[in-house]
This record gives sequence, structure tokens and C-alpha cells, in this order.
Amino acid sequence: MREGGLVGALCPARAVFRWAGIGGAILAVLLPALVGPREYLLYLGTMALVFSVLAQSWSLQAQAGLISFGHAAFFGVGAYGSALLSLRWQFSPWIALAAAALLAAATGLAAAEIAGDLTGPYFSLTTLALAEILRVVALHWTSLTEGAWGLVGIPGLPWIGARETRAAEYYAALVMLAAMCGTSAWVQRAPLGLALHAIRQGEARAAASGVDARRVKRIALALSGLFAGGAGALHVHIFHWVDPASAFSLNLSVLPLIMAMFGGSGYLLGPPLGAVVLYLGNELVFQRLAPGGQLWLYGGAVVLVILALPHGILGWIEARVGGPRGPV
Amino acid sequence: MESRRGPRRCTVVEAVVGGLITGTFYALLASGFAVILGVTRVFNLAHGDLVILGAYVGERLWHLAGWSPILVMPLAALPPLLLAVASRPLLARVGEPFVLRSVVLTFGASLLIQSTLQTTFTADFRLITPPAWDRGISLFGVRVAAGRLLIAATALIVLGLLHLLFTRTFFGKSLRAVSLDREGAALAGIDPVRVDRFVLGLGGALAGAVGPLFAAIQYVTPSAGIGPTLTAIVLTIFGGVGSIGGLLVGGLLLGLAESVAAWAGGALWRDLTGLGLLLLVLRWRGVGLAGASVSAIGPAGGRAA
Repeated sequence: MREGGLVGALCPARAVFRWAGIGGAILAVLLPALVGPREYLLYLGTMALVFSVLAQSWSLQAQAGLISFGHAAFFGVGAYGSALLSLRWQFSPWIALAAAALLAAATGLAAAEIAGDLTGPYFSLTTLALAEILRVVALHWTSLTEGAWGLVGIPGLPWIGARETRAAEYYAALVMLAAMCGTSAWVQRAPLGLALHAIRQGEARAAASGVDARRVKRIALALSGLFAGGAGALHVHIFHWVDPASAFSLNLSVLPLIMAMFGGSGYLLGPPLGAVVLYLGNELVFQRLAPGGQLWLYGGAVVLVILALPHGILGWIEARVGGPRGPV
Repeated sequence: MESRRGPRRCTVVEAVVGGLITGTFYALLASGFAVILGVTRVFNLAHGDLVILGAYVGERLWHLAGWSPILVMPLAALPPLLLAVASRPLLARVGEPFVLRSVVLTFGASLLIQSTLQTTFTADFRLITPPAWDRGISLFGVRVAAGRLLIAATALIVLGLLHLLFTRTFFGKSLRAVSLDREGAALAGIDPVRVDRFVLGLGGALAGAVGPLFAAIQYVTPSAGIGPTLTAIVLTIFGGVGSIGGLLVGGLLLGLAESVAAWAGGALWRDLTGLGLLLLVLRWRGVGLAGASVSAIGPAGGRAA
């Protein structure tokens, strides 16, 4: 994995996080070999990676202080786009996945247009309304989407010479996460990242320094939508099934927000860390203690972040470890 | 925002009257959210969940003891009131940017309330259906269910009392003073912490009190809070945090638009109308009342200048 190197170069928390990142990447690559035939664990790993992609994509436009409440819109467009293309029009699932991700990127552009200059809670609510509108349309456009029944029998991703599909799906998710992290790292290094931070600190000031805020937001939301849509498309080819309530679920808008903020959305490794810790923590531990009570965990995590961990787990660790302060 | 539809298709006049009645109810539904946002700048995304909490209290009391939804309103107001007042020390710890962080925090609170409701009351659909409430009453030549008229009348009375509280009492004026200028009000001898506590309690109580009426209009589930939250946001941004009249006008317009859209095109268009109006109102007044003025608790979001 090249990911470790990028992390080392860009993560502000220096050595500790760099080695943790490299270790995590190695562990992630070796996981299928480590869990062996236990498919359930591999499936959990795959889902943790899908949520990592979603959380990382969420934190992209959050760099500009834009808190999205509607990433389910992108996830759902990716899921439905890929499902419809491969099921109704018999495209290869790989082509369908790529096309659906692009469609979700276009949805990101549309979201930027609809939101315009709005910031703060008004931006958040705009994205929330957008996801709800798409859910309602998917629910009622029965001739295309089968409505609440959902689409079933969506083909899985075809593998060349691979028999262990669970492992293949896992690696597909891992490659997508690597691409997502690479993009995030590039954005942080590129002028785009500086522009995003400038917008967060004050759109008027950023504009006065020559930042085209609208254009920057369009790019950020399109990139974010691209990967969130990719995650949705991958999800649908793993599950072979999609319906409006799950694809455009409010949970899918809430979870990336919670996971990213919990891990530390200002850090490159924060969102994946938050996703892995919360998702696996829920599936492996919390569900046994309180079946069906995952909202307790996620709700509690949010309250904890806002009240006690303003920069997430990584921010907390950084404050303990010392060194130069603050997320980029 | 779904109301039960009769077996036969109603006339457009009935749709208009029904929409106006629902709109009055919407204004009451939004009042708790607006009051809290106006004074404390807390953008309470758990508002709808407090309504649902009140709705469950009302439904249980109606189901087990047969109490009328109107009579149980004070009891339904109590748990949300206590919850909201108890949250004040936590809200005081929220850092900058305050409005945005309060949104995320109350989002978390919303999830916690939902899961508590789920474990306490299960996910079954609940509805309050007093038999007498279905009796038709003739209003301007249109037959309207008695229960809905009762709900609209209750909403108007509570809104009227709120209006009097804000405009005619010294305490109401001190609330508005804190809303306008927190430091100035403190200099004038008004204790902002006491005002915050009262306002959170008032907003929570209003949300809870609406609950039993909500349960008499539409099905209640633990996750049904998002609808009332969005309605409250639409009306508050449209009508303004300090104006009961603005809420009422916004409520009537929203109720009317949804009702006519449902009459003309069915449930899809009613839902899309509500959400579309939310987008429009956000674009139109995104500078918002919370965004325009900056309080000592925290500067608000809104349109960048």
C-alpha cells in the first residue's frame, strides 16, 4: 500500500500517526489471509471499508466548514444508478459502478448549485432536503425503481479468475478507500485544500483573497459525491438488493458525519479510523450488549465529540502525544 | 406530515379548509423550535423527537386511561420540558461555531431519544382516535372532522397566549431583550442563564404539548421526529424566530400548499411540496434570523457576507 507513505507526508500528527497508518494499511491488506475462511469477519471488514470511504468523502467538503446532512443522496444515487444500469440495461457491473459514481458526482455539482452561498446549518439542511427529495422520488417512481419493494437480483461484480468473492469484494473496497485517501491527501496538498480552509475561516475573506468560493465548493462536492456514490454502488453489488428506505436512509447521512467527526475529520486518517472503530465496535461488541441499539452508540459518540473531543480521537491523541498542534 | 385521507376524494374547498387547519397546527408545532432558536441560538434538531416523546405520553394515557389528547397536553409537556432544561449545562459547553455545533449535538440527542423511544414503546405504529373526534361539523358549508377543529382551536389559543407572553409581560420582554442583545440585557440586570433555562423549558414543553395532537393527526413511530423537525425549520426560517404571527402565516401557507398538492397529485406531490418549500425558503432567507444577529453564546452561520 502506497497509502502509508502519503499519510506520513501529509498527516499533521507526525510520526505516531505515520506508523499507525502504515501498520493499519499492512493489516488491512493482510486481513483476508488472517481471518481465513471466516467469511463473516471478511464481510464486516468490507463494510467497515465501505463506511470508511463514505466517511472520508464526507470530510472532503467538511474541510470548507460545510457540514453535510445529506450524503445519503450521493450514496443512494450511486446505489440506484449502478443497480439500474446493470439490472435494466445489462451494463457490466464495473461500467455501471463507474457510471453511477459519475452520476453521483453530478449530483454533488447539483447540490453545490442548489446550496449556492449558504453555509452553516442552512447548507446542512439543504443537503438533508436534497436526500429526502431523492428518497421520495425513488419511492414513488415505481415504473423505474419498483418503489418501496426495491430492486432485487442485482448482479455481483464479475471477477477475473477469482473464486473467493468475499475476498475480492474486500479488496475492491480497499482499493476504493486507497483511491479516496489518495484524493484527500492530494486535495490537502493542492491549492484546492488551501482554498477549502480559507473558505472555512471566512468566505468573505477567502473571496477577497481571490478564492472563487462557488467553484471550490462545486469541485469539493463533486469529488465527495463521486466517492460516496462509488461506495453506494459497491454496496449494492455486494448486497444484490436496494430499496429507497435503505439507499437514501437518513442513517447513511448521519453515519459518515459521526464517524468522520469521531475519528477526527481534520486528519487524513480520522474518518477511516472513526468508521472502523464505530462500525466494528457496533457489530462486534455493542450489538451483543444491546441488540438493535446502535443509535445509542452513534448518538453517544456525537455527544461525546461535541462536548469532549472537538477534534476527534486523533485530536485527543495528538494533544496527549504533544508536538505541533491542530488539524490542518 | 401525512394526514389520514378519507375514502372518497375530497373537493378542492375541503382541501383548502383542511390545509388551513393543518397549517394552524404546524404553527404550534414550530413554536417550540422557534422560541429556543430565537433566544439561545440552539438549532434544535431533536425538536421533532421531543414532539414524538410527548405523542407517546399522550397515546399511552389515551389508550390506557382514555384521557382526551387535549387534556393530557400538560402531562405530555413535562418529560420534554425536563429534558430540555437539563440539557442547558451541556449546551453551555458547546464551542465555536456554536450554531453548527449545536446542530450536530442535538442531532446526537435526536438519535439517543429515538433509540430510547424504540426500546420503551417498540416500533409499532400508534394513533390516537377518539370516536367523537371523527364526527363531522359543518364549517362554511364544508364538513370538517370535529377533532381537527378542536386541534386548530387549541393551537390558536396556545399561540395567542405565547404572543401575549412575548409582547405584554415583563418577562417576555426580557426574553426578547436577551434574543436581541445578550450582553446588553445582562447589563440591564437580566440574568441570561435564567432566561436560557426558562426558554429551553418553554420550548421543550411546547414541543411535548404538541405531541398528543400530533398523534391524533398521524401515525407515531420512534423515528417519526424528522417530519415535525423539518416543518418547524421551514416555518421558523420563513416566519422568523420572534414572531408568532410570522409562524402562523408560514404554517397556513405550508398547510395550504401541501394540502392542495396532495389533492391535485397525491402523496408524492405533498411530500415534494414540503421539501421544495424548505429548499426555497433556505435559499430565500438563508441569511436567517439566527444568522443575521450574532449573540454572545456564539456567532451564527448563514449566508456569508
